[in-house]
Amino acid sequence: MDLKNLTITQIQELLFSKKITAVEIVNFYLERIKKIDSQIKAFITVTEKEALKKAKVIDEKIKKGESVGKLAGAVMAVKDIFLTKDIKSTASSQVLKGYIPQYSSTVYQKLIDEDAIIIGKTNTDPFAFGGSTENSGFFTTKNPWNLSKVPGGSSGGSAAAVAADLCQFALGTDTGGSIRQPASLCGISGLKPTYGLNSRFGITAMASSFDCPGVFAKNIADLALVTQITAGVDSKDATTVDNPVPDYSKLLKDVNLKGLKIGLPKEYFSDPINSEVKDKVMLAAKEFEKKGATLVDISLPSTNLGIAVYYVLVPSEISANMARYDGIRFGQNTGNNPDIISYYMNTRGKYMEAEVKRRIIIGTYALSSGYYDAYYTKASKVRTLIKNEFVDALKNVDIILAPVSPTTAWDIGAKANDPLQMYLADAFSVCINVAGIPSVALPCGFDSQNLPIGFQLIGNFFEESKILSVAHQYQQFTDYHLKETPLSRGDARRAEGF
Amino acid sequence: MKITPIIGLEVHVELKTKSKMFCSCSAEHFHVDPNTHTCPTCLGLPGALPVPNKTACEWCIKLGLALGCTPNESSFFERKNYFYPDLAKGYQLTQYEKPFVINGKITVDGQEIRINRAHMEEDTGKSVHIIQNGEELTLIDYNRCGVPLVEIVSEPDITSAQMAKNYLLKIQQIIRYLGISDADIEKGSMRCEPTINLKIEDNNQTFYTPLAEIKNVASLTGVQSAIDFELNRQLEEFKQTGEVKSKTNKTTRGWDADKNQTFLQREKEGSADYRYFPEPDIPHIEFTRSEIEAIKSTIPELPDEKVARYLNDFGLSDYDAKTITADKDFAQIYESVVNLKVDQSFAKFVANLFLGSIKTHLNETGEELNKNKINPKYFLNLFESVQKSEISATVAKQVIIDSYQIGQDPVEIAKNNGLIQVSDTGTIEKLVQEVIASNPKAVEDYKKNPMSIGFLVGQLMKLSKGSANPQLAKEVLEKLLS
Amino acid sequence: MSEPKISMVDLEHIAKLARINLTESEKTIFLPQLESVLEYLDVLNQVNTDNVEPTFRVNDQKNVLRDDLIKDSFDQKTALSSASKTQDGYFVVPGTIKK
Repeated sequence: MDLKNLTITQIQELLFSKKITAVEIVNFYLERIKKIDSQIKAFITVTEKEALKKAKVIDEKIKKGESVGKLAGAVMAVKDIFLTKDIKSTASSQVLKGYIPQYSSTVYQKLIDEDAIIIGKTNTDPFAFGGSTENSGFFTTKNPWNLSKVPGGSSGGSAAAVAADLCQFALGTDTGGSIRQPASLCGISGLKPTYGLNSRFGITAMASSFDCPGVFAKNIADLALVTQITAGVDSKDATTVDNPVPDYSKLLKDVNLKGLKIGLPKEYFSDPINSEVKDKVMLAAKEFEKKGATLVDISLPSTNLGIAVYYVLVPSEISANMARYDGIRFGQNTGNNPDIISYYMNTRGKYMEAEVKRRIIIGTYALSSGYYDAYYTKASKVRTLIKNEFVDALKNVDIILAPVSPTTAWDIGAKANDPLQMYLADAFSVCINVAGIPSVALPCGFDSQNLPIGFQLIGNFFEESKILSVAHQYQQFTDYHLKETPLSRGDARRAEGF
Repeated sequence: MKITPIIGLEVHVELKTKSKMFCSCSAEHFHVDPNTHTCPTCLGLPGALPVPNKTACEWCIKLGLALGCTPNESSFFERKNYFYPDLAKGYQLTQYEKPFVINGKITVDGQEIRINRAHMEEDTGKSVHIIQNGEELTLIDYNRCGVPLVEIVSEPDITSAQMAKNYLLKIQQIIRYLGISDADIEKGSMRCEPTINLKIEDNNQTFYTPLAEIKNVASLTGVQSAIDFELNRQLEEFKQTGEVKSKTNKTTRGWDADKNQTFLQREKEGSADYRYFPEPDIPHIEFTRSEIEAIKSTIPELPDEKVARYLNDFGLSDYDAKTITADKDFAQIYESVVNLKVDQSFAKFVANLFLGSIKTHLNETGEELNKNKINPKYFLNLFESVQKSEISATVAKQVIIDSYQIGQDPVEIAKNNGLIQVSDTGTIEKLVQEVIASNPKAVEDYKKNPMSIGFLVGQLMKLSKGSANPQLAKEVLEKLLS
Repeated sequence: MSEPKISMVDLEHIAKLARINLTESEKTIFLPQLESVLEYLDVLNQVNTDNVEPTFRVNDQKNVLRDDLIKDSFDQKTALSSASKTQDGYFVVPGTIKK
């Protein structure tokens, strides 16, 4: 049975009507992983044993007529920065090579408590530091649409796995675009929720006031279903918000596109946007207009400051969050050294990847004596300006539509030696993280090289329902989200970009 | 040359909350197997997050209020970044810009010492340095990592080692009154770090010596000795080098209790860059006015207030009042007795027994005062008996100890042991005659110097095994000897 | 072109502050990269932020506090399970600390 392009709900219908077993579902994905993953390398760890074991338990329960969790039958991949108890979690860094965590992240635990089945841990930029998954301390993941291209990052492995149908949905994190950008580059959907909706407990911390755990899937309905489970206050994460979690699935149909005011921020449709991307995203806007929505030109003048704010504050928080990686309680270390300072320096120096070091150094610099006010305080004030601009704009429009990435997927290695170039590719994604508001990315077409193009729908704080339902509507009258990668079609030649 | 010591004290107090500051591990770390009270948060594991202990925050405010501080309307935690193996996260959660409370003061020996601030932070783990097979190794136990600490910073208003010691005793007493910590300096639940320099006035010029912060002072006498040593050392060094205080020459010195001297630990303290920034994982904290009032209402009568009340209501001497109130429990037990009868002479009577017989007995047995062994009614009975001259003061001091030990009414004890005071003139006269007969020399001395009657009275008391009424004995002696 | 924002000496100082050893070739590669990033960040200096409050935390929350209750800790074995060197229940710092 071909499970591609089915929603979780549809798969569960098959499962509960006994047309398929959970073990068969897992084997479907395991076989695809065995066939395809050697080409795209989305996975660091494939949890074949655990997945089959869980599947058997679910099948037994169904056979006996016992109740199962809300995600029974849903197979997921998990970004390797999520700690998964007893399952190797490396954050794609040599620092944590071989690390078996003693506890699980809250979001992961919530999902397996509802009987989601983990099929593997996915590749990422190390500790999520990056926008292409090329910085991984182990290997690079390839874009399933074209194996010479990056899948985006940092959650590139998760995006590629979903795009190539190696799992039903996948977990990622979005600190500056790391869900939305790989979703766009891989032609799938991804939700960055409001900061504080999902618990960060048990996920290696990158930037504490920016990190948002979220979900990838091929369709919006799955995003809604999974977010329903992951969302909610966690007593172990003081930054989660104690709001009741809406029934996102039920609310998906609860939108009227007629009269919906969609803001198009002019700063997002100018330099550095690529013309093909701009065309396809504008086309998406026009599709909404055809259905009765009103397109409104808006301006978010501080957009061009987003990257600077981001690259001051995020490395600053990174520099402190990475201080615990000293090889004493966990992680690799360089053994005996002449003194304690050289122990720290050699251990961290040996195992940390270049991008990890770069960000720690930028952050340490920005926080250091004499620079704190000029960088950290200043950037925090500009952060207020950016946040207020979104809030003000959303008083006059219902939702904001914008591109996610200025370009489609680029060649592997093209930006490797120019970190600043890599950072500038975040131009259209970071401001949403700076503000803390939610955004969902979904596909809206392809460029002339058949590489996916995505757009994002941005809402106000805790407006996940609104943006998901608008996105869901879009997927009712378009079919970009149903397109298969060349790899999925078994078209290896096409995948190599010929 | 006029030399004025300038001393500020930083005190760290370990709160005796049940759980740690930012996680729910037990805060117990004495005589506990290593690394058995840890979790992802206090071990600094990847992905772990802190959630502050409400009671700890309230106790910090409580302590601040007791020290006369003002609570900040809004307060937050910050990260203090540095690397050391016993600091699991590579940063300590503390408060910098907005501590819970600021601007207090306490009075020590009539001198006002201002308190700059009191804030919350977390303790580090414990390092044990060993030598194994010729190799130096450090072992780490994280049980203590994350235990709540309140840091109290005084202004440099202290001008001598003695004043420093008294300041610390006062702080310790207040903390113990509040019941928020054992504040035991030897056990490390109260730690003190003096920062010292000198003001030297010479020939119309004023100089300040460089600041020195002294660490590892593990006892009160240690604090005094360290301060005295350092004041002397700084003076000598100034005479030699003339170096004055600057922004970059503050040093950290350790205290060597064996050699009785301070030694340089870290040069140029100014270059330790902690890169403080607000903690993003913990929302800020605001206590409302009514919450602060509620916390304030849990503050018991503090030592200074109690002493003033004892002086006023009980007519006790300053010394006696201070001695009784040194320990809150001791004072409370005293009050439970005294409250039975509003009478200054009763209060003084009880004070004398508590500070005399009972305290002596406790010192001998090494016990703490046990409130179950104190029956207020017994004291009242004893008092009334003494008032009636049934029991002499001397006997009272003895039977109260017996009463404490066996739990019987002391008046009963006196009766059963034939210690009821003899106030019968006839019996006294017989005793007087015996004393006169046995002490001819003393009688002669008396005839020359009437002030020496005391010896004969004493002899009579001895003869009567303390049961004679001494006043009556004196009168009868004088009568019969005249 | 104005003064470089970060010299090699600065870089070495920051690397030590962050406790990260950089090889000579890393230093050579990083320095211009960091310089270009830091120059880029200068754009913030031109922004007028008078009377703007900084945003340190995104949500408006306050007073997220925990009752003083004890919950289960790791047992000793679990706490030590990921360390490369332990002894008698302690973590061993694989390096010498000069007292």
